[in-house]
Amino acid sequence: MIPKGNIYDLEAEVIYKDLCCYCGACGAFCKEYICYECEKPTTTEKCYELHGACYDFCPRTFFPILELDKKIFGAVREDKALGCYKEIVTAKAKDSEIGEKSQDGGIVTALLTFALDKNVIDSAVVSKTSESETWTPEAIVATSKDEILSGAGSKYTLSPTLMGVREAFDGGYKNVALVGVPCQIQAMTNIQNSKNFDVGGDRVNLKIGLMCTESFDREALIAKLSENKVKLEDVTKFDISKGKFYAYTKNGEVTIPIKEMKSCMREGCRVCFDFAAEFGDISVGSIGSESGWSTVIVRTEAAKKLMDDAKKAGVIEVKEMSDDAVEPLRKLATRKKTENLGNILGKIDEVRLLNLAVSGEDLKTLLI
Amino acid sequence: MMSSTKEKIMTFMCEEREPMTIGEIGDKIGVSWATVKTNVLELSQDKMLNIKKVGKNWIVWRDEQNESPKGCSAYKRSE
Repeated sequence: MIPKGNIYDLEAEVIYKDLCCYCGACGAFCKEYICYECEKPTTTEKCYELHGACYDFCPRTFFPILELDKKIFGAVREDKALGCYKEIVTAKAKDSEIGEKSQDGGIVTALLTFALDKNVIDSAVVSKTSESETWTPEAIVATSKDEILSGAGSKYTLSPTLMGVREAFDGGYKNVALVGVPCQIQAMTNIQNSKNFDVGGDRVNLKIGLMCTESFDREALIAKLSENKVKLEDVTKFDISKGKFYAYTKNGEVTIPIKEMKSCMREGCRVCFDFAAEFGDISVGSIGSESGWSTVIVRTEAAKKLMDDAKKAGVIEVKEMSDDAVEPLRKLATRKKTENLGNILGKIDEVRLLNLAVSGEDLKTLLI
Repeated sequence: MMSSTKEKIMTFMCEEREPMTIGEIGDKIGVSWATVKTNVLELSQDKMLNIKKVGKNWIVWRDEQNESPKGCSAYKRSE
């Protein structure tokens, strides 16, 4: 049974419990009552809906993962770590401008510009760094190569990206691409598959997921950089590679072991079960690929066609990935799931399994 | 999360759009007088309903301005 609730239930079950992933799904289709402050949704006035889209769309109230596997991919996943997919390849953009400005192989930017050029999409919701606040991402509706390029590069802090989807819909765009981290892709998937609300979510016809271990709390990130004598405004690029967090500045780079960065992790990321953006049409990351290349998980038929067409057009270069190269990816995804499943079980109340009544912690002892 | 009784009461009050006694609500939604009273009191604390004793009866009503004119209601799928 699908649970129903309203904004007050969302507050009690998600926001006050620090489970919010700040995806923007709750406020995207309720601009009248919900806004965002301090990276959390907040209500501007009292809402009298008994059952709200905010509760329905939130990936942290309800996300029927295996049911969605069946509905979207036609079967339950065989690969428990990475979800359903058609193939995993390594790829990079051939356009040198894209390569220079983007993270790793620039494959997201290359695919978006190609899809825009071929009218597969008419706009793309991407996150660019805010002009008013350094390294604060904000969602924009990009309709040109330059705008898409402005969103290139990883940010490691979050923005309510789904608000950009609403903006694209309001702008009359009918074939929208969304680029987001796994929770944002889950939120869009919830919106598209809601049995109770129809916002025309099918207008998002391409979901590009960015593989993600965690996102950082902006204030905690500033403090951590400060410990390492780096100012956020001096950073030109962030990266995570081989267990280390890199902050590049004009004066060089600062390296912080990723274990030390756990203290900056958003609380809501501690219960995320998805590393590989399992509900994207395509998922893109770097693990398993050589430097300057991206690891690409192609999940849907539409994504496969886009990749094939882009390859044929000479926009991207694609190579097969061996099982050995995929293994680190699978290992990292499994590690995230194992760690965070422990956190999930630690947060749940008593569970009834037929006659067995056990707490979350006890369930962990019994099943794992 | 809102209980099914509260949801039934709210749905009923939204449909009726006029003041009702607790007894009338109980009869219509098939719940005891005491259960309706308890739930209506809780709903009134959340300012979703109003309740007042008039003579021997408790009267329950819903403010018209409680309607959500915008929000997500426009996106609801028809049942």
